[in-house]
Amino acid sequence: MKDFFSRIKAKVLVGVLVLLAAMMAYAGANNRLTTAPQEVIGLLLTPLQRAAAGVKNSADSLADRYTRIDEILEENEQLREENNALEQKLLEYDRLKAENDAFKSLMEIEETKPEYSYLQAFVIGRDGLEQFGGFTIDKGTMQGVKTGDAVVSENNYLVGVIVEANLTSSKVLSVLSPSFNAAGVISRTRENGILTGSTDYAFDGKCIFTNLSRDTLATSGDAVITTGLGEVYPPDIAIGTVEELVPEASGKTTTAVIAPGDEIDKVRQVFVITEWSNTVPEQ
Amino acid sequence: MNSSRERFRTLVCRWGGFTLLFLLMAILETTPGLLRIGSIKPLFILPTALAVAVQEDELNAAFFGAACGLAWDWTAARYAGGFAIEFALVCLLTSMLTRVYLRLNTFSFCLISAGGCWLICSLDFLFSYQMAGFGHGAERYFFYIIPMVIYSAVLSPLSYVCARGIANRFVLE
Repeated sequence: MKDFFSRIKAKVLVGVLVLLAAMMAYAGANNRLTTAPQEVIGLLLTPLQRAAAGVKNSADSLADRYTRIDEILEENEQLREENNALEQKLLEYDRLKAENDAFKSLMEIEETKPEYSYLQAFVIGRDGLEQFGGFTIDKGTMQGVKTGDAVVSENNYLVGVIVEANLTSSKVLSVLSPSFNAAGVISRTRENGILTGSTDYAFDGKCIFTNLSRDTLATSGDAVITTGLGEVYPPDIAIGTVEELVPEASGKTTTAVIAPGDEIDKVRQVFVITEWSNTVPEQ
Repeated sequence: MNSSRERFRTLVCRWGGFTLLFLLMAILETTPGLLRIGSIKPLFILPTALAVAVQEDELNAAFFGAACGLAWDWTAARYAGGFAIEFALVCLLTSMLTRVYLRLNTFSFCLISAGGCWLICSLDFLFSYQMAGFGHGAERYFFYIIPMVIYSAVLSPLSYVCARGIANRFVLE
């Protein structure tokens, strides 16, 4: 044992371990997950992960075509019926919008319209240790991604936020994580609350909407959207729908269990909202 | 001169092979949906580090383990250095035990892999989950962590066979 530690390599190893501990302390103190040596690893791994994810997605699509054909045909029929119903609603919407615009014009009310910039990205990595559906995407700071950017699915549902942006890849914290928080509102009743994750529901792919009043008017099926309060997340981004209402332990508030619009574990393509602002349209 | 040149070439090929093996296993571990059973995915980076550790001397094993750990810190979104330190120590210990006590074959490597995965994953569960205050810890540990360790151990012969093949092909005299 004494001989072991007298070798130069052993001393180098001890030095490396001390350096790693210092790296960990630096990363923790600066709230960063990644350090410079890992950026190099990231540069090596990201293209390979992108290629592997692409191959896997192609293989899955091919398999789906043959194994899920009956399901796909049934879904197609359902979507056709839904489309017909939505077209009817759209006609009514157009009429109401025209009325609303006329009233706004009359009262001289100005409306701010959020302007978003989207950056498309593929999900290239999901580690086995990831507890709450977080993943890696193939865009990073070189493409304009930065920490704190909101991430939405192909269907424009909020799926998470960028927590670490490297050169060519980024880490996304999903809405299922208890560390995720976003100000939201029930679209129909306009009741405000906080969207976050919970270990009670995260493993079923659901999150929660807290701070609703004890006598909330929200019901199952209501849509939840972001409010943009605090200017952390863009406003009017759909999150999901209320699945059930659970009274909080103290009985003072109610918690809504939210089913995200898209299954977090299954998203393959996402969009990062790299820029957004509330602007008043020119007259 | 020729023998030192040959030795250098063998060394480069050996460690290049181990590095390529590690990259391949990292891709296998992180590719979304691959080899997934329910919500459980197997680990490949740690068994690969252990597979190389049993083929190399203690210090080389520790350095390679540290590099693998640093990569896993990146893919699993953990603070840089945590897994690197754990891997370095576990690989060092594994290499020592293999040289002194253990008889190495596929089955014994599965057990080594299971032990290493259990130790590292339990530490990660303690620091990243329990100490973070998340609930349903027992459920998470027994229905996710332990099955993941077992699944990883079952698939670990893949890493072992590849690492052994590389080590036997490029032997340093």
